[in-house]
Amino acid sequence: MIATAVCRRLLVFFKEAPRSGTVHSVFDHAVNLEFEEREGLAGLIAKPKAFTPYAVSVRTEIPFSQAGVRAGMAAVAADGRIIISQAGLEIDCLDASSVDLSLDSISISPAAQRSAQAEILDWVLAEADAGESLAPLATGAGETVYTRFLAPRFSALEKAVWAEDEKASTEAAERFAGCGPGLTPSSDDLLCGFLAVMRLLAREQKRENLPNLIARTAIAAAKKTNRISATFLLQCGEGLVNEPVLDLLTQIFQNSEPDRIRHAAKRVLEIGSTSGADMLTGIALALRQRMGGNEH
Amino acid sequence: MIKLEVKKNAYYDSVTLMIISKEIKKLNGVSEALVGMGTDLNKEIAQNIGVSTPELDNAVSVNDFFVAVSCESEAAFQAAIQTVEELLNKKSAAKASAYQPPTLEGALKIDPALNMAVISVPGKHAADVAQSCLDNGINVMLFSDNVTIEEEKALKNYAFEHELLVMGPDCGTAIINHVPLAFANVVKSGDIGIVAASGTGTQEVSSIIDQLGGGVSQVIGTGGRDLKKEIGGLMMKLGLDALRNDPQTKVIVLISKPPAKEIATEMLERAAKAGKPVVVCFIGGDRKEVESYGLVAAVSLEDAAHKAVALSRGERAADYTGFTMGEQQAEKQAKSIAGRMAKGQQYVRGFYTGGTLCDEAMKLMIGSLGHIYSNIPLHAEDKLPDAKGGKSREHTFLDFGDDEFTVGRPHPMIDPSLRAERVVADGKDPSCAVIMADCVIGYGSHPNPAEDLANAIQTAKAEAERAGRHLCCVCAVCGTEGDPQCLSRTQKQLEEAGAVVLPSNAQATRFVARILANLRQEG
Amino acid sequence: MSKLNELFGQQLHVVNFGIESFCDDLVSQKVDAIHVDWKPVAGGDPVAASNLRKLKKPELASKIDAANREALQRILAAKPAIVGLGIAGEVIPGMTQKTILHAGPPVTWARMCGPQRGAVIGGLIYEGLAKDPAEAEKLAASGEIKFDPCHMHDAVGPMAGVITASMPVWILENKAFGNRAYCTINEGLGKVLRFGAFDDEVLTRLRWIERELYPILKEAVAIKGEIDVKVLIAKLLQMGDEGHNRNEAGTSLLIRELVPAILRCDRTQEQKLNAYNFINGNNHTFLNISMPAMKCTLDPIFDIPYCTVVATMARNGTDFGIRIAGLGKDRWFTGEAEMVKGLYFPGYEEKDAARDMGDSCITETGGIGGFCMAAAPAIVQFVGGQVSDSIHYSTKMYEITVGEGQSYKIPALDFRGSATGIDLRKVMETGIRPVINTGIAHKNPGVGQVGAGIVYPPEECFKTALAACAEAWAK
Repeated sequence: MIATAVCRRLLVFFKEAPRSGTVHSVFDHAVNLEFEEREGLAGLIAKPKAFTPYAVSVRTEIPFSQAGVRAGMAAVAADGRIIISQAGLEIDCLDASSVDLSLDSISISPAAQRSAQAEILDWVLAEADAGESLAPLATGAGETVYTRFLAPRFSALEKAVWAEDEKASTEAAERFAGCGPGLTPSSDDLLCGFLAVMRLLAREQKRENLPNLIARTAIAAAKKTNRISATFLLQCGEGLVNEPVLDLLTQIFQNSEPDRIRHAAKRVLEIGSTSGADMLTGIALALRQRMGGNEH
Repeated sequence: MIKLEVKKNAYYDSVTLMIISKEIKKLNGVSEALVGMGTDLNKEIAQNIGVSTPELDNAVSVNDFFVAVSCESEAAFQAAIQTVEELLNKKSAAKASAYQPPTLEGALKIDPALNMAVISVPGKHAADVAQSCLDNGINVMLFSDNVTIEEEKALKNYAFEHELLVMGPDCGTAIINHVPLAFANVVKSGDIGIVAASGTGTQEVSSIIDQLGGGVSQVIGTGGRDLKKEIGGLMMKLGLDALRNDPQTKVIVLISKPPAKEIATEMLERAAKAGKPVVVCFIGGDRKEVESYGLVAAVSLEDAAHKAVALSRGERAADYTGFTMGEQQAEKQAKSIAGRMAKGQQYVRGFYTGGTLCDEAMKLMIGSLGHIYSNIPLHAEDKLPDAKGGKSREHTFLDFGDDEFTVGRPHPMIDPSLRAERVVADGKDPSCAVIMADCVIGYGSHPNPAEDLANAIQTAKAEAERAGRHLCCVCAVCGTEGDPQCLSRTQKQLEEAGAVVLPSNAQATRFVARILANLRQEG
Repeated sequence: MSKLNELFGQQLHVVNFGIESFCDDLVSQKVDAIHVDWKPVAGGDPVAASNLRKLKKPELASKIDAANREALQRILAAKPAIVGLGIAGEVIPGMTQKTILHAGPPVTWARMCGPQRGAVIGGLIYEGLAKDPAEAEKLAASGEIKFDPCHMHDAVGPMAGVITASMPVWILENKAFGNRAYCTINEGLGKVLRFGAFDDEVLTRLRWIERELYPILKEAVAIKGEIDVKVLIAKLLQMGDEGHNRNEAGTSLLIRELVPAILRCDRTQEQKLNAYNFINGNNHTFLNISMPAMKCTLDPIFDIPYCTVVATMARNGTDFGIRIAGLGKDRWFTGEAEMVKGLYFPGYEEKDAARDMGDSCITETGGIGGFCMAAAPAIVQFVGGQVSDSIHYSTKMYEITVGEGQSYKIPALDFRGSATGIDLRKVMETGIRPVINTGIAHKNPGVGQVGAGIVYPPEECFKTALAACAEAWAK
């Protein structure tokens, strides 16, 4: 198999030293690998799945699950290759492009009407059939048992983050994380979107302590959820997001035309069953900058 | 001695065996017992409670069933073995008891079609229960008493607005769609509709209608206070209008004590527009006023029944004030009874379980007597201060269903014992000539209310006889042949005890009046 | 024509309150009639009745109703799953070396009942904090040890419910809301710590569980992945269990889930066989799964304002305590724990029994256990009842709950969902207390279980909770 793109951070990690690990989990379009030196997982991603941090994008005709890869198999990364020998799988990363999924790569245009941008996202959410997602937290329509459960908890989190109260914000994140069924619980996805925007707003508003607090908040949340979801939260804490989210945030913070923002938002929406909608919800909520943590 | 019985390869559920062990321990001559499978645990328990044997320890396996007993004798052991067998083979006779929900909500889940509530909870809770029924569109028969007039008004205002019935409070009788509710008699179905503010009065009228071969369409109770100004006869109005519109009803009977003037006017005006014959029985009320509206006035409950039946047959409604046995026979019998009485015997004592019947008797009799002392007197000055604890005074009538007598005990129609005691007590009074008593049968009443009364009459008469007096006991049974207690059987029971039994309360009253008149003439 | 005339055309369906014979008369005449087993509101207690009235004022009542519906939705949306095992000190929040968690509401060493004291003694020796019972008692009384209810640490414990830092625990997670619950591994029947036994046999078994059983189970669950407990509970109710006092089916179902993974563990054949035999040899293995499953099911209702749903029922052999969702996790309402009515094992009688004890009535709080007695008629024999009685027990519970389950269904009630979400108001209004199936512990430490039966929470805890609701919310 040929790798088409590699997350720059992963490349760095691989280049530092040869790494040996195991296959953590296998899906049709993704394989998660765990390496002893890293808490978060690394991933092999095939289209149509969105490119995520610490991942290698692979061109393949057959789903991973049918390619003989099984959880528990040994995986080795050395000399620009990832090898899962038991499955006879070898991925050549030498010619792959290095992709930077860091939020810090986004150049921020002068401050804009962020809440107007949030409104665009609300519309995208409202139009989408977001089913069981947490979208009602942003749109205010069609509350569910989950949104009612999470609303007061989100308010507390929002308030704590804006107040830069680390204790309150890590506690609130612990209470917020892990809610909702699925591989990545809805509340975790929302948190990823929210914290990503907060990191950019911190830069925009020159709040220098905020990125640290965001990282610790993400770590606190990661402790309360499953390994895969925790991986995304930890990456988010480091300032890394998946490619569609990075694109959307780029459009937003470069003050692109509403249409382009809408288009980018729709790409985020397509992630997972509700994950995309949940991330969008988090992004929209953060853009509103409700510093007092509004009552819901 | 320790005895062991083993059944190889037999399995029983451990819980069953625990229950059996407990039963065996209760047997005579058995001090400890263990019935179980031969598991290590059970063997250990056997050891602990001292019923273990070497055989149990060594020869009994986990697949075997054993009975180990510490007992006095071989016989006790055999009895234990037999009991174990019986219990093991017993199939429990599952009694399919109906589930009783604890709330109206629960009852509605079982039967969402509920449309009538019979409420007899303590008065202070009754209004709440009634209101919750009304809220669910359920008509109410409120048997409970001690409901305040404010509560009654609130309930009835709500009910009237929603065209629901609130029969009561303190309503003992109703027959809706031929279903007798609470205290009611098995009356043939027919075309006479009754709206009544009186319980036993209604039973008397409906029973006599049945005895006369007539029948009822609906019997609606309103509770005794409905025609008071505060309530304004709301339920009387609702009932009257419904009967007017009811195609099954050809004749309407209204029963009440005489209401306040303006309420009476309103009711009579309404009744006059009914478009069908209406018999009005305002017990002891002014017949002229009734007749001025073109309505038929009744002079007694019995008369109301006679008139209603006549009208339903298209006959003329004439006053009925006679005796079923005939005027002459009645006079003859009264005279003979009075003749056997000792000097000094001059007073009547009426002991009633039915309040309206008591009231009617007093009203029919007062004219010739002047004063009748009572706990529900016709004139305030004739009120007995302590009806329950004190003695009777001259002519005394007591309503045993009044609050004073029912504190902490059931209504006398359910528990007539207090009244029976009073019959015996007053029978000893040398001035007592006649004891009058009602006997109300039907659903709700005591399964055999005549029994206590008959025994009391027998005792009282015998004691009087021994003291050289002749005590006369006059009874009327309110009920029908169809009632569970049966009219004729009840009458016979009382007659056999030596009572003079008349067919109605009014006739009994008239008969007693004749005895007293004869006594006066002799005196 | 009025509505009354419509009534004249209908069949009469009568509901009777009060004198029962009025209803009997109607039934004997073949009239449709139901007798309501009516009791005065709050058992006639004027203070409680007045508090109820306060909560019934329309504005507040509608807030409470909405909150309770929300609570029911959360309970029904719960997705309890086994996600792993861990060591109490490492995974239970707020756990320290010198913390001892116990069943029921807070209780001091001085007020602890015999079996709970025994379990504390055992726990201290097991932790190496004391070398013998005398030293353990001294330490327990010294104030150096922090006693705290399991319930205050996302945990539950059957009977004495003692959890110490080194004990392995099952970790359950409510996948819908992300919260977790912890419970020890059930030790079996007889002489065990949860009944207050602490001799060498007990301690040896506890150490074996920690060193041999726990690593295998942990590995097995890791191999197997999450186990959906909601599905298991739904199934066991169709198999004669009720999830509290009868756990035969539940334990079998759990074994079906675990055994293939145990076989794949990197352990010797003998180790695997021992692990299998232990969990298979104990019918109550599943109790320590159903309990945390219901615990994590119920905890998410705690932050719903105005909610009168009972979020916790628990007892420590001294007090019975409840917590009300809308009043928060820190407020316990207690009354003296009652004696259990039931069947005693041969050789024991009621005078040998301890008062009602353990966190296991979290099962009833969540709508299984006694509330599903009709699903487990075998249980009703403990109180000398018949199958119809078990149906009555379950049916009665619908009178005091907000609603019915969607997953936990009772075959004998035509697969009706079990009564779920105990509403404090309804308990007080109807005088019906939640029915609890339970084991009976010997009053002395270390003897073990002496029977099983049925018990109710004392009325007192509901009364005081009601008063607190009225005080908090009725202006």
